[in-house]
Amino acid sequence: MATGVSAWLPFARAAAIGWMPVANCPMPVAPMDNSKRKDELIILNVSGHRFQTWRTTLDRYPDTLLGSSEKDFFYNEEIKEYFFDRDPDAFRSILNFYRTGKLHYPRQQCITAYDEELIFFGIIPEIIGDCCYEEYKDRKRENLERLQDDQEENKDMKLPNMTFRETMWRAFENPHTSTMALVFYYVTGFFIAISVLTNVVETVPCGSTANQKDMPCGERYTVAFFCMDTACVMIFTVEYLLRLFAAPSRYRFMRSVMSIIDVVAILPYYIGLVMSNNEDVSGAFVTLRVFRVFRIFKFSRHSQGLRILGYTLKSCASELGFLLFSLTMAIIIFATVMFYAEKGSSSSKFTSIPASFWYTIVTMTTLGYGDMVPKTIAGKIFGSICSLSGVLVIALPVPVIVSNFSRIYHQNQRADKRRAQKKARLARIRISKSGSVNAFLHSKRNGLLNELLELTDTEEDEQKLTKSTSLLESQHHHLLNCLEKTTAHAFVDEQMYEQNCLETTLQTYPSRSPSISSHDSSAGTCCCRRVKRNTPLPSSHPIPTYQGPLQELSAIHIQFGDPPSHTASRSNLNRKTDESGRLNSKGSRITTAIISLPCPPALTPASDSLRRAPQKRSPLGSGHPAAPSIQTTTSSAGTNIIKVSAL
Amino acid sequence: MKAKNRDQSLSDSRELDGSYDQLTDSVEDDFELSTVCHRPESMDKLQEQTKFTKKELQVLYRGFKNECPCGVVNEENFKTIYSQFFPQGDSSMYAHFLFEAFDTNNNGSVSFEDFVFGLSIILRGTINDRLNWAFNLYDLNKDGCITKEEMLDIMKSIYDMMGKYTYPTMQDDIPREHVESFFQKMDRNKDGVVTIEEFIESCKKDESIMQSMQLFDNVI
Repeated sequence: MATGVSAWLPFARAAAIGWMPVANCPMPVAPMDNSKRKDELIILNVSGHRFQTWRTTLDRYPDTLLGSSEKDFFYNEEIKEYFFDRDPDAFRSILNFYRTGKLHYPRQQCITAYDEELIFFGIIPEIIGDCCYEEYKDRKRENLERLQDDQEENKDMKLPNMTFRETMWRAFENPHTSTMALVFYYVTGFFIAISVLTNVVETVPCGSTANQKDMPCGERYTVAFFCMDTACVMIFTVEYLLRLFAAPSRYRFMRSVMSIIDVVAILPYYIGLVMSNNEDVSGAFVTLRVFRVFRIFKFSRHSQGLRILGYTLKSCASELGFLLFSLTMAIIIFATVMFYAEKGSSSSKFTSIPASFWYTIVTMTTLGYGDMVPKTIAGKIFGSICSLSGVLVIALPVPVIVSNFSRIYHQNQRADKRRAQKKARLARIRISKSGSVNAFLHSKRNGLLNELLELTDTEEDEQKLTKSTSLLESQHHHLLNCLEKTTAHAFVDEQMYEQNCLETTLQTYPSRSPSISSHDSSAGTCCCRRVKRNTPLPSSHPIPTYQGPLQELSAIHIQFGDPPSHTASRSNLNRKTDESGRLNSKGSRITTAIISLPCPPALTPASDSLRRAPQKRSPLGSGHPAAPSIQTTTSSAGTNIIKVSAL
Repeated sequence: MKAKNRDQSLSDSRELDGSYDQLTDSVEDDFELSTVCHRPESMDKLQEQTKFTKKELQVLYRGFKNECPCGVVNEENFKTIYSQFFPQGDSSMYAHFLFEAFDTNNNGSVSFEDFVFGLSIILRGTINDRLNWAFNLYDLNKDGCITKEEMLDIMKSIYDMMGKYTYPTMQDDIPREHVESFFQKMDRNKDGVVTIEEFIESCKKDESIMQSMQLFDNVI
């Protein structure tokens, strides 16, 4: 039933006047408003707090506790009120949901208490309005994390059945999981430090020997430094190979930044080994040694701070770019101005504009080396303007970068969260919406049965059959029925539609087992999607998983034998021919309407065996016990299909 | 004037800051709209002008005001409300035609009076009144006769409400065929249009239509 606008149902029914003159057949009879209940005030007593509202307000949402007959369980005859032993504060917002159609989350409420109230009153939390939904989800997530933290302390214990490779990878990623990992962690850290230190000390002048002047230590103790370097590179190579072996996805590991740094750090050594003493390339070789300094980046595995810094720079790339661009602009402007201002003075250091760049940069960053100074008055004036503006130009983007980082970081977190929530929310709202369609189809069958029984004058059976659908629902369904009549088409849901699709593509097959061969041969039709869904079905639960994501566990296919023609069973255009078929199936249908979901697999094998006896079984194999029977429902043999909604 | 200045400064900042939030944009606009309120005439007057009792008017108004607190329905709202009854199909076109029919003074919004007058005719009016109203609904350009194109639009909008998942599968030419059969039934002098007299006369002669009209007697 359309929620929240049940007051507009009379309008929607009145609007059906547009269909009447167009329809080619008479409209079905409208459900009688037998109750003739005046719209009365209901008193809801929640732990002593009395809330009053109209009955129709509560009837707006018939799939909740207050809107359905479930509240009768709470009716107290003596005080003539509905008494609920619950929290009145939370109840306030729940009642407001009925009044306004929007559910709000009161901020001072505990999240778990509120959740419990919602569950008790049968309201799904996804309906919470946008104004309060983020807060609700945040609180819920916090709560969950708090609970998770308690559980996580046990998580670090070694899980059984981990392969050697997985253990190693885990040791590499989380050093505190085992002693060996910790040892390895510290050893590699130590060697990185040693390696960096050697590179630095290599260039320090070591003191002169007797026959030669000062030379760097590297040239003096070549062998020692070479051994040290070799040792470090050995360790790094071994570490890299071990990580490569342990990585779950080697390709992804090789592309990651850390592994590239590792490779760059050890490559110069090997290149140096390969090209021994070639004079031409030794110059290039010397520059390669510069890359050894990359070893210091290996520390980022050991330091969380370095990683965050790297991420910051990456995420603020555009802001940094802007900073660079604005600086460049300012530099060019001031360099030009200084050059032309100092052009007149003799022996000026400002020989060209690029030469003035150096002065501008040094002045703007307030370094002021003093190797270039303006001598003319104009030059001095512009020089001072330059230094003042330098402060501004540098000071402005930096806080922007800082705040940008903070904003981007938090925003990313929140956006991902919201997107994940939204998908789940929409999916659940869609499910409840499709539930209303199922309710209509279900009651249509009920309604047909009722009409039939009216014809055959079996009064007592009619009482048994009528499910207590609310007046609103029956009126709504009557409305949809009228539309069907007008257009001479019937509402079906997605699966029936696809089954029909399948059927129409196989009109040429005359035999009784068209659908079986279709199961094998259909490909590329609109229903091949559904066929694919059928194949991986486990044999133990054919019905529930067949239904597809939206329907979940909400509909069961039951079928019966010896039906009248297919088209007639669908609409009640030819009511007479339905009679015999329906009378036969009447009894069994009632029982299935009451059965709750776990039972159907027991039911269908029975009907399966009924159906499958005359049909070939071999092409399918035993993997699909129920699937073919469902498919054969639409065979031209004309099975009388009735869907029962298990809402 | 003040509102104008605020709009001006808003649009200025909107230009400078390309990342202006769509959300706050629409919030500002909505705020402008919802301050327009409309109060209906007194219940006594409405009771005289329509055929509803006081209680029925109360129930109707409560429902109306809940969905449209500002007292008028605009077309968007109207379509949203109507589409909730037809979750499977697309009811926007038919809702548009309905809106045109209810909005008798063509001011782009349906007030409670329009709403109640329309309902009074459909639910409490004579057969002639109802047929008149239906004719008014079909006659899109209100020129006194229904052409095949108008009927085709109406027919398509009705079939759109069924949606995709129907049995038998919806073919594309079904609305047109239905229009043809409608014209065959209604158009007496075969001149390609259906006038109000032809319409009323043909409907009165048709048993099933007369029977269907009885439906509206006990909607409220």
